[in-house]
Amino acid sequence: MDTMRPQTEQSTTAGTVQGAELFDRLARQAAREREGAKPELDHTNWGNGTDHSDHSD
Amino acid sequence: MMRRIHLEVKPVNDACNLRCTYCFYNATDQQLRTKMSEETLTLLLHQAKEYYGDGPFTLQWHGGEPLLRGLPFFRTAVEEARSLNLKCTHLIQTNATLLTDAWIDFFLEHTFRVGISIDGDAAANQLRIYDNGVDSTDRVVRNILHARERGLDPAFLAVVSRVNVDRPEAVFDFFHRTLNVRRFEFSAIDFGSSVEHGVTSEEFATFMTRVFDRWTEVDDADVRIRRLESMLIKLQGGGDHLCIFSHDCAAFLKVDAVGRIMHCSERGDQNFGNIHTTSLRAFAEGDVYAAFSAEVDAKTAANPYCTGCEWLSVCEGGCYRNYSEEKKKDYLCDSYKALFPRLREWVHAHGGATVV
Repeated sequence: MDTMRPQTEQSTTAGTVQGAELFDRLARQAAREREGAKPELDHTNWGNGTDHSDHSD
Repeated sequence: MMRRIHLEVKPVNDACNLRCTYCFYNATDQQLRTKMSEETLTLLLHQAKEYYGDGPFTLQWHGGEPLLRGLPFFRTAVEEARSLNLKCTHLIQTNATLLTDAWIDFFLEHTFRVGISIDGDAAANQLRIYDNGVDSTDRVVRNILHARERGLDPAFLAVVSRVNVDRPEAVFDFFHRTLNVRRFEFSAIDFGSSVEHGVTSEEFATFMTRVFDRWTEVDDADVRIRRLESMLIKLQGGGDHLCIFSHDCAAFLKVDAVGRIMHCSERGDQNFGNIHTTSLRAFAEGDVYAAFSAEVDAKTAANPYCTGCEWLSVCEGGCYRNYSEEKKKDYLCDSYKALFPRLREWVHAHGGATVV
């Protein structure tokens, strides 16, 4: 991904590096989608639109 | 290329058994006068077959409170959809006040994806009242816990208003610990439309930032907070997950109880016609919808707030329903501009890369 912006900032906010498992899941999801996986589009007022089985790791 | 529409159906229009004090539907007819007839239902499903063919799609049952239409209507809907061999997944958004064992059985049997509207614990949910002023929280929480015991796995939709905007951690913990649920979403009441109950864009940003902090502190990878998740994936070069941050806003349409076709936003004069006179397919392929789609797609093009904004490729101009004619942007724009740098910082802190 030539257009991606790599880490350039140092964290200045306490606790900002929390959430390693969460980051791992979201980063892998984003990577799959960069490679062509198509996510299900959801509506913000539809409480259960997302079939999370589509996003299982 | 024609866009593929997503369908929301309003079987009782705006009618609801609650009178949440912030709800925009309080200004509309709240008497249960208009129910979708079985004739209209049958017509809609046949038109869905014509439009979607053998492809998969979702039907989102919404309201008002859709459970007011009664279980027999939904049994008919499921049976007719099956007889037409529709590849249809049913979604339903409910306030859960009427969620009995019969409904739970039905939802489980037919694999409905259930969304429940609740704003948090009793203090956070105090604006969700019956028309006699009685708080709905106790009943709704009882029904949710019972449904969870029965195996239903709903997702939750909370409105951020004056009464819960200062308590994001309590709201998060209520969903995560008390209800033991893993998927929830937050939307905001616009301060511009309700000074009494609304929150400012800045307040919403603070609320969501504190929710984000709690989310990362808990670090349960199964917990999904849709708006934040959508932003984080898109920041990392992923696709569109949420209508408000997508190119496909215009694709979300509603069919009301008498068959009228509308866009989700219900903005302006949307004389889109009625399925009794125009089929979904004819509408989707017609000039009226093409013109409307172009209008929605262009919402950011002539907007200096958007065209010069570094975050445009992530937010896509935000929500058309939330578009403020006065501000020429989504009224939550400033909240997103406050959130994005924080989310980007978090991604970078974990060694990830972002598109902006």
